[in-house]
Amino acid sequence: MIKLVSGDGAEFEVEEEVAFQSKIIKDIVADADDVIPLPTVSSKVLIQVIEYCRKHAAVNSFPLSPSSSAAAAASSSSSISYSKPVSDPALRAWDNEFVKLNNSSLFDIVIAANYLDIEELVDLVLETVADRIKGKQAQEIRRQFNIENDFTPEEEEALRRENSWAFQNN
Amino acid sequence: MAGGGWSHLPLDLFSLIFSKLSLPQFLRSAAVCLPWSAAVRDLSTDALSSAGRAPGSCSTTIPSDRCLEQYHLKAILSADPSLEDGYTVALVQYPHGRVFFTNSGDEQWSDLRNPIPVQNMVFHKGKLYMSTNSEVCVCDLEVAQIEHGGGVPIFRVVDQAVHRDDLHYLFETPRGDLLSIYRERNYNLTKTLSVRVCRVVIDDEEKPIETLKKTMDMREFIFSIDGGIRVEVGKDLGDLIISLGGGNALCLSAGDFSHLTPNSIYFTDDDLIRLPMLSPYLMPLFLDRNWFQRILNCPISIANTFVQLYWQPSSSSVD
Repeated sequence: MIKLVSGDGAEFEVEEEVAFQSKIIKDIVADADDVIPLPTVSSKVLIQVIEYCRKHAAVNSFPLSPSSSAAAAASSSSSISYSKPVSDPALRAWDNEFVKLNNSSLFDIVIAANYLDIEELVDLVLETVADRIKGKQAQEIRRQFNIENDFTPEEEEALRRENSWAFQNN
Repeated sequence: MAGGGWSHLPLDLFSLIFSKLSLPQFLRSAAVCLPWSAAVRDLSTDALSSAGRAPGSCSTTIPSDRCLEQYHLKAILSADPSLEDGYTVALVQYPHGRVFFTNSGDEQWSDLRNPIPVQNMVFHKGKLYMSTNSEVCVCDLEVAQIEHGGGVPIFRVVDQAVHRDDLHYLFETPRGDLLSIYRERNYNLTKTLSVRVCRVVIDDEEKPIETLKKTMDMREFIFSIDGGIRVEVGKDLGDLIISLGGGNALCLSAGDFSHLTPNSIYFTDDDLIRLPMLSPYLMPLFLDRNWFQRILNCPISIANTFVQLYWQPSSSSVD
């Protein structure tokens, strides 16, 4: 068992294969302790990340059933995602449920996942974010992601002019 | 780690998000906030160059790739590669004017070994037409490739300049004709200025050339400025509109641009601007780099760029 300690002092005991979803933790454990302090990750976020890792560790440790491996072969050829695509349909459905969070929570998770080097989780969150950006104008994106408009009106106008074709309604 | 920090993502995470967006959506993201704008600017060189990378292009090697960055290159296609195979790419290296070419599926570039430096080139009816500073010649690349390793390929001269110093434009019209235009460089305002438009026609045996000459008084230029210098050429251009400038020509069909006058040549810049007497009149016109947008109602903005547009819109009025 490996003990993870969040920034606010909460301790979580997890199995190796769960913790090793994070490449960073795998590296740390290889040459040091079994107690790993994660000062920049809050317990709220760490609980969510562990939940994700637990699910993926469990699925990855079992061989795929014949029906899902056929689906995996079919889907892997069409996928253009950078990291390894999630091939199990049930796991993909679970992932889709997992990211049904507000954008602020997703931000905390992606920063933690990036810090812990959990490539699949980073990709999952950013894919979700990209989907939420698609088809939206700057004003909508700002509202959705709670981003302040820090342009002067002149700067904003200049940007639109520079790539005006991209700003036409499609 | 406060929530809502989406304006301050690390660049590698920005890059992952933006890689999942379409190009317009990616560029639109620059208008969200200053950090996103900076991220789009930092990443756009990579994204744009990878979006434009043709499949299989990496397997082809360009000869003399030593110091390749020092050359300015222009590449042209004989046909739309998305439609069919069997197209040819020709590449001219400046400043030496050497021409290389490769066919779709080829692993290697062939050196045309042209004896005279080429300034511009265009594919027309399967052959490569090249202009030097004094003449236009044509070469059959298929023959050139077969003879590769043998003698120098045949360059047939099809048009010649009156003066060595003339500005030259070579292009295909929307109707599929090849036009060669020599424009006199004239620094004497009391003189007239001549533009010679030549339609290049080649039969297998003969090479008759239709020529249309137009001579203009320089004062015409000065007083006809309203969104462009325009010269009526006469009925010979038909419904074509030609725009000359930036060392390039653009040929349009009047049917597609009803707000422009047919049978006309529009001058958009070039070295007339260097004449001190003309510059007060011409400066505002030439400094407006949104010329394409304004004159042609074209959505392409060329503000803040030095990109050369080798763009020839297809005409809706041509079969």
